[in-house]
Amino acid sequence: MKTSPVKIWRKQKKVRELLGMRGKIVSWTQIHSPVVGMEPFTPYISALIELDNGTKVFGQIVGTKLQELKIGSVVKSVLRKNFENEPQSVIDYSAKFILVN
Amino acid sequence: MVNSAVIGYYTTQFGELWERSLMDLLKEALFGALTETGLQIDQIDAIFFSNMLSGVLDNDLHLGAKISEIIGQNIPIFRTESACASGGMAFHLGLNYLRSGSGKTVLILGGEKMTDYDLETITTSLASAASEEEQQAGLTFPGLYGLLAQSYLSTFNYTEENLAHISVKNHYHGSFNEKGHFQNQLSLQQVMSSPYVASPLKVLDCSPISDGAAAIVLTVDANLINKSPHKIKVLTSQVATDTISLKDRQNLLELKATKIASEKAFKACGLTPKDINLVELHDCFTIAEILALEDLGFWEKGRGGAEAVKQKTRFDDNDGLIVNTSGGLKASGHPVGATGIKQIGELFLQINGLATSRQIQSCNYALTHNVGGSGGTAVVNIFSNYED
Repeated sequence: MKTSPVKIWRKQKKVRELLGMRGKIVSWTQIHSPVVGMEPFTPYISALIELDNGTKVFGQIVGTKLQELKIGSVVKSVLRKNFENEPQSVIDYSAKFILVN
Repeated sequence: MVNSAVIGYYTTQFGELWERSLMDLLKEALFGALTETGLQIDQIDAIFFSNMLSGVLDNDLHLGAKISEIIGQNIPIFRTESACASGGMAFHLGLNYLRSGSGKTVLILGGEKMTDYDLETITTSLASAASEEEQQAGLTFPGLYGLLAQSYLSTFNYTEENLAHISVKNHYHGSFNEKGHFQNQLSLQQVMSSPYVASPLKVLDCSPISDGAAAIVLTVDANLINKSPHKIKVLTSQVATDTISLKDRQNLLELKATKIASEKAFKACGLTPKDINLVELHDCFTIAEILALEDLGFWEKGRGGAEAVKQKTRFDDNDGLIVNTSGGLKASGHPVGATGIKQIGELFLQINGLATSRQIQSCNYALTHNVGGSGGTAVVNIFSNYED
């Protein structure tokens, strides 16, 4: 993922809008062969989520056991650090998702 | 409309070719195609060149000028990029160039160098063909097709085993292709026990990372066509696009770009899927072949998983449709820029009786299907054997 402090700053507005939202899993996959920066978190889960307001978003699902994931499972967004970046760079945050019971 | 024909084809070995650079591979394919057709470089009016990753991986662009340097000519050289559909796109644009009267004969050349770097780097660079949001979520191409596979298997009640049969069949074909990356046959057990790349897709559901280059000579020169011992006639080439992001697709169970491009193609030449008995389609992942055969109109939507198990699209089963005699992307490899061109080349070999141990009995009409990314671009071409 090519990023820069300016791109991270530009993205933050969108991240704020996604916080505190609930939705359902449309589809998900557990990735074992990662992109650069995601090696420490592999395997990780990426999913397509349909929010309660009808918009669809992509996000990672964190803190979940694989067996608990189903198409249609209810999730909610939380603020998390995105990838590992350069030690001196701006921290890149994203909205990630956790399962809701 | 003036007749256009492919009169020559050359492909390099596909594989992990550490001793060859991108330019080495392109040179081999370019001059190989000229030798095959007996043409001199000054008989080529323009070159259409296909490559995806040279800029991203190697800071290597303006390839037109680099090719000009190898051939010592000042002809126009155009680069096309639409991720994995770059080759099909180059062919489409070359064809339109000829039909516009801008030239008589063009070379369509594609190549890719992918094995110089580690897997994470390649995975990330391929993901450049996905949306920014998909990349931010850590998605990879196996991941995107994994999402499609998850949706398909769940909706139509199939399992990973249905997908695995596609891999077994394509590796069976690949074992007869001496230019292919992998020439080993696979058992269902081997595919099912391979480790996950992005669930539900496993290593042996995924096309490999390969180096390679391929070239074809395309012409509207009637004299040249008459004199050529080997040729196939181009009936039509159609392109369609769709949203970059899977989230904006109307339906995750199909690739709309494939449907639109193929509908346009069949309409343009007055044919239907029933007329086609040979196809080279875009099996970047096993699920992609199933979706393709449904979206191109050969299998009913949702039936693909069941059809896959029958493995009836093998070249030695002469009953009906034959798919991916080259071994597809899965077995013969997927050097991205070369694939769309290799697909056309495979039809060229089959229709002209040059496919050696994987030769099919006969072919009137054949189709290629080349997709970019997760379905953002699709190119469908239809060819026939050449009757004057």
